[in-house]
Amino acid sequence: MKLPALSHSAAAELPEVGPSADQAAASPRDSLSESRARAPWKWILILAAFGVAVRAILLWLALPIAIQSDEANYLYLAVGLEHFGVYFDHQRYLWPPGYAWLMNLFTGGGDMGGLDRLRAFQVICSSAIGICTMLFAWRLYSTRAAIVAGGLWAVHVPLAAFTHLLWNETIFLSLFLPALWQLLMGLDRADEGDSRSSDRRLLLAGLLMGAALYVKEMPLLLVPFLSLIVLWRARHSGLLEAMRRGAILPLATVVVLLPWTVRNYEVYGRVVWGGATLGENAYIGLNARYMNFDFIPLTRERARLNLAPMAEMERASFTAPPIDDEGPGNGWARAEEIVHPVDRQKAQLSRGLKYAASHPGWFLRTRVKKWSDFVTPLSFFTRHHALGHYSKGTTLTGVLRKPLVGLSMLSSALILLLFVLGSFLTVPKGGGRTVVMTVIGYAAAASTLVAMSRFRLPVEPLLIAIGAGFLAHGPAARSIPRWMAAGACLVGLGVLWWIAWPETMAAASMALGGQP
Amino acid sequence: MRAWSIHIALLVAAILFVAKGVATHTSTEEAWETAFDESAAPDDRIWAIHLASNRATERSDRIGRDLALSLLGSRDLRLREVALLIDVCRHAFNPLEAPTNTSPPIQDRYVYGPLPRGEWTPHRLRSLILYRRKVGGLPVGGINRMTSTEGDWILRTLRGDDLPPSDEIDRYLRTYGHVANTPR
Repeated sequence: MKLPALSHSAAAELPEVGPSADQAAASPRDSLSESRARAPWKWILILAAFGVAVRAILLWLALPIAIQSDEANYLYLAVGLEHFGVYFDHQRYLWPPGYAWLMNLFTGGGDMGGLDRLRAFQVICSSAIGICTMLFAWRLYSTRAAIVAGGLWAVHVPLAAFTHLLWNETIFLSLFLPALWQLLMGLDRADEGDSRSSDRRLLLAGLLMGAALYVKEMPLLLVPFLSLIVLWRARHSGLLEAMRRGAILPLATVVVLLPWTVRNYEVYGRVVWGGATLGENAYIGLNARYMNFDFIPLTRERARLNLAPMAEMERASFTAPPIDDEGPGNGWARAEEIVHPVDRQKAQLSRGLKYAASHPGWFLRTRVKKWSDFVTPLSFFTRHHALGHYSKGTTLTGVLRKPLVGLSMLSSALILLLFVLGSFLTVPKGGGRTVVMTVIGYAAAASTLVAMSRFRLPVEPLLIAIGAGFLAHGPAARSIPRWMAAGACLVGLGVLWWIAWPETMAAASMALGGQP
Repeated sequence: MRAWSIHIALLVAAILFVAKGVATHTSTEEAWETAFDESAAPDDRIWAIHLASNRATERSDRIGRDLALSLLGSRDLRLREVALLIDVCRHAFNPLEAPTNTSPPIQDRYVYGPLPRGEWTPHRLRSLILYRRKVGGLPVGGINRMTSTEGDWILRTLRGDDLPPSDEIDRYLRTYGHVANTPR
């Protein structure tokens, strides 16, 4: 592996206010430049193998596991591909085809066991997530931070558990994170003056990003922001060169997506780049009724167990509908009168925006709740336990249930805390920080529409990478404003946790208590 | 020029993809014609139905009623099942007096009609699952998601394996409890 640009980054990527000379002698920054010589591949591979082993054991413990909610919808689409040779939409939304296609690859010919092979495949693919997490930590900080990041990633139960769930996050991250890594390498190569290598890296980043968009459309609007970063960092090379370099990522992404987009134009007569889900998300997120799918499925289960409904626990200030829209049937309805599935998305988005504009107070207070849902230390691992989805009478639902649910929640909370500290006090300035923070900021902005713990998953490896630096090196910044900003952000995180605390604890207690 | 070689290659690839799309384009008129052509090859017909039903910007009784009846009367079992999928069901014909949350009546009649010799066949079981386990709610015939057991059954039917005894299937469907009007 080539060196990132020391000439540029050694100065520019240190924190704005670094340690004093005597402190610096013992500071992680000393080892930073040394560790840039070569990624610590021995450690990376060992920890990646360890993380994969953890996930394989978790898979083994989780089997047999029945399909749930969206997993069934993916299987439906896979059957459609196998039996009719056609990829259908789901009436309310059109998903990108990649994951259903992959599922069909494993179940094609009619083998339910293929789902378990797909889970095993995801376990293997997760090694790419672990490797990229460590590479990011190494690139941002040092070998020590990479090792810490590897350790955190390996035992982070929410990420680990998703490898045995048939949601698309693991496959998506296995493509998305390498795309981001290649982008960052492209920026570094450009800083070194190695334009050809930079171009190749940016091309690879675009191709991987396009592939990731076949699995999950989430980063579709992120691509322009990332290419702006490339363009901005190349501004000193002249406008033409900056534009040339900045165009590679979006162009490559578009080319990969084009076959699917052309197909969509043929089928729907509309341009659909990844999927068509925005209108349905507007229905969920910009509507009177509060909806969070970490909690909604628990409602029926709580009724069965004679427990108080989740809705009674919500802090109404952040979830109640606007005063002029209270009562049954409030909010707006899906545009089901529009038969065209793509046109319906636009109509629903328009209804949602109109509703938000006419209820600005409601909009603002419920967005706080969305962020609260985004950072809640829950995960589908906890939800699955709370719902009794894991087979009863097994080690996973027996002796390991409480420790693993507890670890899952604690590691989620810890990673968020470390991220806040690392992002204000440790992470050095430069391309690495810009790319990582842009992605995290984008995910946080997207969560103001629809939020749940699953939507945090795509950025959790990046949160780990940032947080690992703080754990490995402690605070590097000494300026009071930075400490104050970090403190304010921690208080903000605490407030967000407090807002969702009743529901979070209700879900946690169901998961910890086990199913009768 | 060499600095732009990647851009040129990507643009050429993009042009080729678009050109392929243009070259293989099926007009809406052709799609409608093939969709209703009972002599067309099943795969061609399925694709044409996919295009015609998804391009339509108004709910079409021709698709929701005429095509549904035509497909359900087809000898090809796969074509019959197409009538139960989202493409056709989103155009479902409902009598004016029917409540808004009513399942498509033509498809309902077929899926819940008497089973041949009172036994589940792969086609009939697949029809029930494809019809009832779609997203979109009652207006398109969907209630609840597919379970693992149903997933296993439908994949078995694709593989050509034997199904469980019909009594067992009935018992499961009754226990699962979300399949109104179970046949038989």
